[in-house]
Amino acid sequence: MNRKLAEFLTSLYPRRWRQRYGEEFKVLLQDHSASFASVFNVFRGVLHQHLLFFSENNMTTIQRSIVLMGYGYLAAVAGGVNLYWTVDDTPLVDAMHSHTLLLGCWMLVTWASFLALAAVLAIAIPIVFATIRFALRARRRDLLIRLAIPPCIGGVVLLWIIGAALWNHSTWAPLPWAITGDWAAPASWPSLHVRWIEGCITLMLIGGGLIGSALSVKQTMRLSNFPLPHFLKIPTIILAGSIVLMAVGVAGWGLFSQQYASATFHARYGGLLGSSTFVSWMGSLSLFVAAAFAAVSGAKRAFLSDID
Amino acid sequence: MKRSTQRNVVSTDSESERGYYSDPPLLVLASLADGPKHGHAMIEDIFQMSGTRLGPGTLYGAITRLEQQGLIEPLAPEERRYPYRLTLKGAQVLRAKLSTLQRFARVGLRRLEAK
Repeated sequence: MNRKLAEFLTSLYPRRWRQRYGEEFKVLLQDHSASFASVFNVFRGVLHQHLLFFSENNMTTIQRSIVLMGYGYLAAVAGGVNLYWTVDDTPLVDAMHSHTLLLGCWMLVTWASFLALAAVLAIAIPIVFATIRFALRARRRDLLIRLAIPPCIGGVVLLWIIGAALWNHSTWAPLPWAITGDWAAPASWPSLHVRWIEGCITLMLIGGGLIGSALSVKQTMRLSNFPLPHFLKIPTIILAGSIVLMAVGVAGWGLFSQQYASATFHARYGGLLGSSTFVSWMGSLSLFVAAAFAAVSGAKRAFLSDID
Repeated sequence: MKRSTQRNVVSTDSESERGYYSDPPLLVLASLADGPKHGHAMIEDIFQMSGTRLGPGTLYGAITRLEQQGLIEPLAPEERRYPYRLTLKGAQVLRAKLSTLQRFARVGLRRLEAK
């Protein structure tokens, strides 16, 4: 493999990995033949190392628990936002008023989400205050910057939505769930082309914001080398339990929609990026299942924290 | 070890016919059992030993994890190449894993022959 290709492939690895292994890996690549298989193998290695960056290495058990809870809650938020906007203002809302089981599942998700929010606040508020106190005392601006990332991203998303809606003469908010579908867009809305561009920008901002927030939670925890409060066990159980309940509610809602309102469920009313409600629901369900796994795993670790 | 990274992959018929075996961390540990080696030497040695040619990304994924677990350690560089050697803990883990595999293989082969 020539030097330039070896340098390029090595440059794809995370910076921290490169600092430790970059030089020797470059030499190994130069000793290696430049086949498609070996380049593909390096790409796989790059992906693996970047995924490890999101994992919770080099942390105490309580830090891992909080990070997993954070990931779980953010995934549940993503799934919940997607489901809410997929269903809002569609005939499925009427179907829910006619079928108790359908409404019951929806209410389960709603109430469990309030419970989850309360548990997250109970976990996050003491940690945020402890982190701010520590950061101010130890003059750690890096910690304060990371803490500020989630609210700043939220503000940017909100400003973008409000700004774009005003730009569209308040006729259409740039939501990726209202771009196109089995309905005729009002004449006052911006053109389909504009709706696609603005909707995709919103989706990228929301997705990037959630990933950025997940990274900021992880890095804040990794950099917080001060004792974290150990009284988080009950809120962690409530959070994990409520996310599991939400996942069950979302699964049940989809199954009953299939049973009671099949045609509407498979129509393209408010799905993400013009997809059907079914496809959008599948996306939300996957996020809720992942969220439940992360949150339960985090709660288990909270109970192991005593043996740290 | 906290997490198992073992993967036994038999991907094609021809590979299974020649007894293809892929558990990169174990292969790296076994390669270092007779002394320190750098990356390229490990790839060649593992190919001679098991018929498996590890890609550079796979090899360094295994090296990263094994070093984090304290099973191998780097030595001083030789002409820009960094050799690695087994630690005491690495040797113990390798012995334990190979003993388990040996028992497993013995029982499996005995059952096959008894058929």
